[in-house]
Amino acid sequence: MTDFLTLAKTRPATTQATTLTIELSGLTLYLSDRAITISGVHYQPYVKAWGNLTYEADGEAGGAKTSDFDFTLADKKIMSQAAGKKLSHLFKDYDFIGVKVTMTQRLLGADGSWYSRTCFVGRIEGYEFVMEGRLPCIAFTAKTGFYDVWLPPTKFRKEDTGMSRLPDDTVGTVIPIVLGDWWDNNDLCNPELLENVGITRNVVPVLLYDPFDDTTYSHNYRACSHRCHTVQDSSADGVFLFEKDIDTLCSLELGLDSIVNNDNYVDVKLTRPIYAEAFIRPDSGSYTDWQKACDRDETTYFTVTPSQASFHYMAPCPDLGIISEITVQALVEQTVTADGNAEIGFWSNWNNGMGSSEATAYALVNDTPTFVSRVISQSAMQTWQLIDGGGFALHIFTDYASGTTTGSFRLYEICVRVKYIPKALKGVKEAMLKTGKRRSEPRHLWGR
Amino acid sequence: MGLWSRKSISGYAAREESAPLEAYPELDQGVYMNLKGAKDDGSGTFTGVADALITNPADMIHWLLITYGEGVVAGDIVTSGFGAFSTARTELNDRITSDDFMIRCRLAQPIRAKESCAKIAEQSGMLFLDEIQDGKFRVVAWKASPSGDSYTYRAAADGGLVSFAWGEHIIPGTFKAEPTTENEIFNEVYVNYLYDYPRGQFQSQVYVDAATSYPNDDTREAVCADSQSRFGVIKRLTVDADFVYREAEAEWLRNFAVDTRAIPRLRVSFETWVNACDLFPGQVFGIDSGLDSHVPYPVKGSDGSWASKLFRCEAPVRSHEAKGAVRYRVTGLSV
Repeated sequence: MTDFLTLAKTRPATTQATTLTIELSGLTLYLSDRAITISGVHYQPYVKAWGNLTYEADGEAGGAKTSDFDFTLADKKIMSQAAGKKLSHLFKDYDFIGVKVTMTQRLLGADGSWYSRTCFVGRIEGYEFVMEGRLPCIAFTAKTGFYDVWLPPTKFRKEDTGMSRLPDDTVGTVIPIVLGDWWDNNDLCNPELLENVGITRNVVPVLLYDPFDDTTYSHNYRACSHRCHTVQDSSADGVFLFEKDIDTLCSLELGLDSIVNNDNYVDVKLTRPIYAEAFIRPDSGSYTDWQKACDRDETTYFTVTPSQASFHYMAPCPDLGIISEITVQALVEQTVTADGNAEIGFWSNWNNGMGSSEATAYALVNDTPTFVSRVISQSAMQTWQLIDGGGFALHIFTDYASGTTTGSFRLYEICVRVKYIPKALKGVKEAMLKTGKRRSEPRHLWGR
Repeated sequence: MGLWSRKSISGYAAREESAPLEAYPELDQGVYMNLKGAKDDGSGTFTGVADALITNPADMIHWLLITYGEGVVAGDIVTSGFGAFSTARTELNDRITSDDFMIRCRLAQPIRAKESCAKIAEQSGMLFLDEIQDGKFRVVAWKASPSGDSYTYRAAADGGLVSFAWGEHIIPGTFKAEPTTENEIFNEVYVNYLYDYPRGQFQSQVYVDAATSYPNDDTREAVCADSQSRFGVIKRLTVDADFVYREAEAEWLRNFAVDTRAIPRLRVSFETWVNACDLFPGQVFGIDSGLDSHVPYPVKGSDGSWASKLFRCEAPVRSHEAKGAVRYRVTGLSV
């Protein structure tokens, strides 16, 4: 145990003192409420009053801080330290606002030495000249907070490099600080990640600062004001447009060198043309059943009974462009006793039953969940008569070896990825027009 | 009024940022990206691992202080004993089985640096001690059974747990003990988490009330039921944890709220002298059994003794008496 704490545990007979140091520029004042000399430093007894000092906390979670600390000094001559000048006379030679002040607890040991512990470190925030009875005094207020700066520290400014086309309403907007993991990982090629289809989370907004970079023909966005651990620097699945009408994220395929992860910022450049891949959750007559196939839970499923196919209507989303390719992945399991085949097919006119179909058979083993996938090319879709302006129906069913009398399958998970070729950059702008919304931040209910 | 002081607030309302692009409406936002945020330096200063992604709340506060704090230096960050950042990191990670305690945040509205640190601490069940006593920074992770130098007043090297003694440390006439008030009680807790920027709303929720809970927790349901029966009213706390994005952390916050707020706790206060000058908020102390003959420990079902009862310090107040004498008013909540 330190000598100080040993003394502190003693009954209050221990001689105590509190000292104050005020560090002006080029001059340090040593003060106390009594005249004492500690380690050769003479503390003058000019402290007339000590305010209370509270170490306050907002409960058991949150911030704990020191209250403002008030103290009053008698306006007397500061001998030896300031050539005999009165304290008030020092104000014309020194700045007092913002100077460091330290309060120290002193305990006198049996060996005649003083033992010390710091109780407050702060800066003088203000002062006023007052009278304590007939004694002129100066009342000071000090507070902690050397670092109480505003965050984020950087803002969008037109005069900065590359910001000459900064939209007026973005001027002065802070450039965010981003901490933690904001990675959506919408990799549909990996069946293990099938669960992340259509999830609009784990992404951060980026802020437009250059609507038209005429050098790179790009729209330039900024994500944050510092270098990040990892950003998606390839063409796949790193940047998204939120398609409000279908309530999903559309992955924007980027050009080369489209993302910069600089020490001072993370930038994104969207160049033309833009290929958008949409992860669509199709409408279904049985939404409850469909949810089981989209809930990212491979233990839930719905059963498709014999002679019944699972139909799912896909929204056309013409604003995103023309459908060029469709990838379907599903986790299915056959539940009859015999092994069979699963087929994934597309119907162009579901109201009339089976129209054209792009069906591929996948071997299924009884009671064994199996991933199946299918890619439908644009050339194949060109033969289709798309329904309702561009939609199509997805059909999954099982086919059994002859001799079986029952046939049903379980659909555990499904995801559909539709690749669009935008009609033109103007078309993309129109899409953005329809989906554009102001970003929102959670409201801070504690009034900050 | 902090995050844990709100009552009966349901749902949440979004606050919009400044209008982004009046001049270019066709290029309004709606664009988002994946990324992993700030990372540690090549020495692992903040996480202990070189170039690691910063995800632990204690490490985030450390990074903000060093990166943006004017005049803050490495020596201002406590690295050992009570309030050590690395200790808090470990304690936070120990809350989650087989994983680390992780949050994420996007600071996109002007906020004071100390407020951002306090907010991170709020949503992590942690106390951020801002330049208390010696001008240094400390963080303490809340724990149901606190012990050791990370929590105890004082550290083992300085004598270990302090039990303030009646007649010796506690100034006569200053002792008070009372239960926490009804205003501090919550017996229904809902934690909204996983904020979805494209949709502008929270996507997930964990909760517990008297009859149901998610994830399921029959024990805490019973606690809530007992509290509602005792007070005859439902006291709901809804927490909008915009820094929390995983269920494990949200569940921990839910449990923390119930464990600390569903039933009354005992608050003690007394005055002592200069021997408490090194007492920090968040530190745990005891009361000597010498108080037993004067006031039995006033909690139903207890053994009536103050011995072995722990209290978490709330807000020490230092005041001065004539000619150098110092007093400290100490308050503590039963652990």
